[in-house]
Amino acid sequence: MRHLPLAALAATALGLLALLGTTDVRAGTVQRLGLADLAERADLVFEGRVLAARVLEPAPGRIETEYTLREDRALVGAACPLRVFRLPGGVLPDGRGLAIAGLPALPVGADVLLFLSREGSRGTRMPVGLAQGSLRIVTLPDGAKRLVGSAAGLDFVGDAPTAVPAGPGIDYVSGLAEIASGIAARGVEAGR
Amino acid sequence: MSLRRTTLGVLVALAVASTVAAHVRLTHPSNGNPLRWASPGAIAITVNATGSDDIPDGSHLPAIQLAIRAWNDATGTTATLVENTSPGSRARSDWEADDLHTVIFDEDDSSGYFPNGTGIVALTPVWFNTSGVISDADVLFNGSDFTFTTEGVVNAFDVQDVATHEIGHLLGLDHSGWAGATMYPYVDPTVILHRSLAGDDERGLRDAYPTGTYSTIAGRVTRASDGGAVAGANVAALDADGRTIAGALADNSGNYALKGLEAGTYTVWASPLDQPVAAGNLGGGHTVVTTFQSTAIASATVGGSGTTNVGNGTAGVGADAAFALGRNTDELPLRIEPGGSGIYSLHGTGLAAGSTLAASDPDFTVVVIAWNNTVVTFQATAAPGEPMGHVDLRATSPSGDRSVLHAALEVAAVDPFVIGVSPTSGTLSGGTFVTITGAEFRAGARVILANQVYVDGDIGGCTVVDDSTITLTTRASAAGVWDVVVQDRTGSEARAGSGFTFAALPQIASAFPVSGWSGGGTLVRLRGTDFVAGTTVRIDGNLQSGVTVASATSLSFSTSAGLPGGPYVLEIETPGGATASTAFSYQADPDPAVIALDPPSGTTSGGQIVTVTGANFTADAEVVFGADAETGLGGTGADVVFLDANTLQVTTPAMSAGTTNVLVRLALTDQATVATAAFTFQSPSTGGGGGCSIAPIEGPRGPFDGFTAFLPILLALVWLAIGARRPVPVRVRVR
Repeated sequence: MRHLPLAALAATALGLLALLGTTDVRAGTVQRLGLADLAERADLVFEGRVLAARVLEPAPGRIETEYTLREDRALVGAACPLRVFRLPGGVLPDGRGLAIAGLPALPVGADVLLFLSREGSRGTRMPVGLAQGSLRIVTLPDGAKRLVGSAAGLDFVGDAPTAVPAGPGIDYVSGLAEIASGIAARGVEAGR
Repeated sequence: MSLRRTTLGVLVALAVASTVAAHVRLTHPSNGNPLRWASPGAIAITVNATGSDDIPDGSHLPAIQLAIRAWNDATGTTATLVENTSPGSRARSDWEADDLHTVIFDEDDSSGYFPNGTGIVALTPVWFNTSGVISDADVLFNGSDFTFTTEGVVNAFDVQDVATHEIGHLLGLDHSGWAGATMYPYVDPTVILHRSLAGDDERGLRDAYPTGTYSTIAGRVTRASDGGAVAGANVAALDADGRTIAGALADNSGNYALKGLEAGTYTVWASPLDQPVAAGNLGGGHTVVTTFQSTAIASATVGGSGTTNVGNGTAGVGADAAFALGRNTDELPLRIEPGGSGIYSLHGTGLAAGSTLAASDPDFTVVVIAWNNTVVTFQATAAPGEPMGHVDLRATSPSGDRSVLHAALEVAAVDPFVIGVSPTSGTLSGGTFVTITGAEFRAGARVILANQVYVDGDIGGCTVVDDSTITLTTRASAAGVWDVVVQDRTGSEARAGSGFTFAALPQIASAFPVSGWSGGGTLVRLRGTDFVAGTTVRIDGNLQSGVTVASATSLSFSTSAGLPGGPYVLEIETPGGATASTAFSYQADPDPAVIALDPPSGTTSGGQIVTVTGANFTADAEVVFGADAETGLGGTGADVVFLDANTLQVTTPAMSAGTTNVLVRLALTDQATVATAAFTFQSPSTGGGGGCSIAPIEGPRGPFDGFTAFLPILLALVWLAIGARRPVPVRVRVR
């Protein structure tokens, strides 16, 4: 084995963070998107901590999860200290549920970087690129931050430049730079 | 696997999953129960009638029907999708209703799942209860953001390919780690090989909804270094030929079960689920460890049933290595034909010179052209006659590290080829016998024509006569110019672009009457097929007025004036220019007309004297009760006495009870008219209000009982006596 002690610590930390819970069923057919792509497409891009998740059934058959996040940084969209939005899917207290294929669940307590679409016709948002639009912000024992694909157990999804970082993820600062390039592209397109 | 990931790659998911059997199943997010249909034997599925704006009307139907069929063709499973074709169900848009499991294109984000820019091509919401029983599932295509195709349009998503994948989710299956599996999570517009199921897909269905008897190989993935369990390993069983047969994901204790195996000898491999499919492509609840390298861990010979437990097998997995073959950006699987050869490239890590690359099936030759660290280019050649299926590619580094890309090569039959179609057009109502000529036609082929699919061997399907000929008889189909598509069971297809036209090609089965007054005004009714709105009618080239198309089989018009004579050509012409013709003659004298019948009713036994008043009657007039108003056919002729041009006296025939038409036809000219619902035949028991019955009444016979037997004879004699004093009538018996 060629693992270094620090690496082992990092791996353990990532594993424990993953244990905070990921209960998503992912299966949709989706375009592959990179961070810049996500930033260019999203209506809202922000960092925050998931404070609460509440599953609702506003109408028969419509099961939605209302998330409340403390917003730490807004990258796209107006700042909002307490961000509340709904995603389709979830499991009701009676065990009934709706799994939207490919849609990530946001574990309470997790620090996340989200790329959300505008509200759809029913008032819910969608992570752009489904699971690709939901990344965990992981702080390693050495204090370094990494952006990790939101699903626990994620590993690299390819090494193509457009692939979303997963598994060990990518350096947070590098990720923000890529996101910034996507935001800049939005400006260029908006100015056309 | 890269060294970087060696240092960081131990990721542990919430460990709620127990043993994950062959393939990967969708699970309840909270308790890990596999999602499944409670009554899999007849899972109703409805294809919404409204397709996509991107594709010809109705062409989504055969594409999705073939996707459904791909799953229904799986063996060893009780799961069957039953298409609900009722127009009412197909028209429903309330896809969330529990009683409707539908495939639908969302063209305007009415679902709320497709706000602009999400990048979501299609998805499958699945509703379930706490035990994992699916109560509803639907497939939604994002028609507002993406372009779909049923015609092989470049850069558009193939409806059949996407639908086959999503229907797998509808059945409760998660993604597969096999590049060649339908449940492989990456869709590429240029790849249509996921239209047909791979062994892993079929065994996933067997696992979820088993029937029959199959074998299972069970074991545990451990590390060679310390014997520790390896969670979430991607385990594959290869048969004695080196073909990839079944897959499994080890649970968080390293246990795996390869189910649905036929009798035979298998080699079991374990590989890290890191490329091109990773744990992130799977549903929640799976523990995945990727810090090891591909290793052959066991072999077993199994019978037709039971579980063979190989324990820890013959070898633990090797240590992690900075060596990996395949990326999700590769266009997988790599297609190869029996006896064929191709140049391919695969991306990866550590693909350095000195490495080797081989296929798991020795009948396939792999010659590397270039190693370039992140990409390897090679030529693969398949021996002639190789059966369909999947083959692993195995890369070995100079230091002996190994990376296996499971099911990377898909052996697909040579594409069929269409040379010609004869005839090249047919009627909307179907019934056209079509012969398709070409090459590489094989048993089980499907022909897609307009909004219909014809499957070899099905009743009403097509027939593969030989490898160069397919025949079929068209069904009623949507109008338009359509590609003629011959598709192999594997999904490979040949296409004769714009090869067949379904159009209104009217045919006239009957015209009634076939003759009318030259002054015009005769109501002529045509029966036939493919009558369409906008059809024009000409007699001897002269446009006729008042054309009414009641249906595709019924048309009427009122004649314009013409010159007496004929027969002239009566021609109809659709807006598309298709024509059909019959004959019509003009007569110098006006058409007969019926004003009234007196009395308007009589008994079913017939014999009723009825006076028909009207106009333009002649001595050759025929009267028929019960004739069809549109064709003049049928019915029963009556004895007719011509009294004058305005009066006929007829004797009703015996007929069953009911109201009937009465036809008057002039035999010499064929001019005719029909008085619709003009006469009612009544049963004696209900007629007249007296309750008179000719049935014998039991009981004491009275003094005049015997008299009734002679009453008809007596009446006939009286009638003859009266008639003898009147002018001799012309009597015509009409049949």
